[in-house]
Amino acid sequence: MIAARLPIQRPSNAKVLFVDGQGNIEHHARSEFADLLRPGDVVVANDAATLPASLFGQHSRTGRRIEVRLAGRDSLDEIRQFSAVVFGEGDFHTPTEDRSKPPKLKSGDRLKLGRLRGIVVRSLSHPRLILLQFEGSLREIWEGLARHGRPIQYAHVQTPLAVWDTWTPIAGPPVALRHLQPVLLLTGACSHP
Amino acid sequence: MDIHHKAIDSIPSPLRQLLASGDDRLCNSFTDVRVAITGGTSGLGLSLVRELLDRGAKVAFVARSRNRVECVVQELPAAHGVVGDLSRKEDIHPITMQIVGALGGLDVLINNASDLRPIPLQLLADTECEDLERTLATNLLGPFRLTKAMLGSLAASAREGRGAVVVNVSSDAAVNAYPRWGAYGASKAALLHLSRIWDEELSLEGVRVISIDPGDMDTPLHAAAVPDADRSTLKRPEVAARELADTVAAVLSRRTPR
Repeated sequence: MIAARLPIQRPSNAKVLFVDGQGNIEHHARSEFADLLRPGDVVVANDAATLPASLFGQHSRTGRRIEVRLAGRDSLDEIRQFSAVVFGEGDFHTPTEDRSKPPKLKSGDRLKLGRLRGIVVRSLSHPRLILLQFEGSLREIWEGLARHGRPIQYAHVQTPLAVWDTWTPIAGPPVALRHLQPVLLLTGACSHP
Repeated sequence: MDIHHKAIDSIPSPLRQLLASGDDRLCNSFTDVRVAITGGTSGLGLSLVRELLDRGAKVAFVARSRNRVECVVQELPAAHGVVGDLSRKEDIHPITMQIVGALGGLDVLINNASDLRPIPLQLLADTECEDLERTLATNLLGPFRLTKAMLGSLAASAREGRGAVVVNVSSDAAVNAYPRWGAYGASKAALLHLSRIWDEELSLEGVRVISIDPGDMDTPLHAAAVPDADRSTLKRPEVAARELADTVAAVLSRRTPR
């Protein structure tokens, strides 16, 4: 048994960014969120669970180490095919903009990502951005993502995140973003809040 | 040991009336209902997988042994098998992700997996702390963590009018003090109370949490605990599965579509 050592994984000093109608920005404690609401306000809550979409592995043709970050899929039912961003060696400790490039990625290249096996379907308008097809049964793919995937995180948080750090208490089924423009995919997909 | 049991532990009174009405329409309404069952490769859990698939549910099940999960999937290819150990904190989110990912959400969670130890059963004074810890990890913390991780999906189902039910499989050892059943009884007593409190807390969200004691069944767990039991006196797990499914159907039928 692993005894709980902390009451919650999320920091108690988390902040809320408040922008008023004139564009003025204020920072508040997260616990003050309810105080910011007025009768008639609409609260939009994101209840999507975050896929642990960072997959480390190897580019088979060159043998080079890579990190694949799943960025989007066409529908919630689609689990075999993702748009994905690929980095070379390194990890989240390096700022994203400084990450090394992956080897040149060609259609048909095979990627070993833990127990997952993927094939590069094609490049998507950027050397780092690909359409990735997973091999295997749906059960094998879900298991591979759940067991091998790590939360996407960025250099400003130095401690590795666990999956439970990235799931809110209202997290429902896991999703990733649909196909969007690459600039959005690179900044917004599947990261911890 | 002579185990006494109640068929349903914490079903509220209106449901008792509903169940007593014998309305068969309630008992076959699992078409496209998304169900997860822990401990799904033997005993009551396996019978539940079969029963609910027969009734049209989309079923995922969890068990520790990869071999046994694959055997069940081979027999029941419509079921989604997940390998995982509910007593391990690190397994909870991967299990949850596989279940709600494969099913596209979740309407019914049946926390059925149980750990009974030490075997042979011992007096509490002879029970190792590690055995009590392990029993609590599987029978109490596991259901708590899994339910907590699933709450977002269950609440979403409730909001969509699909209904959302958590079933914690209980035992009469949760309410009666049977010598030598200390670790198991204490874990089930805690789970029972957890269920009652959670049901109170989640009723506003439309998520029901119920505790069901299926009775003494002819299962591997019972055989390990009482090896010389007369099996002819024990309930068949498929009968218990049918009864449990009827109860869940009754609870689901009382949901309020929005």
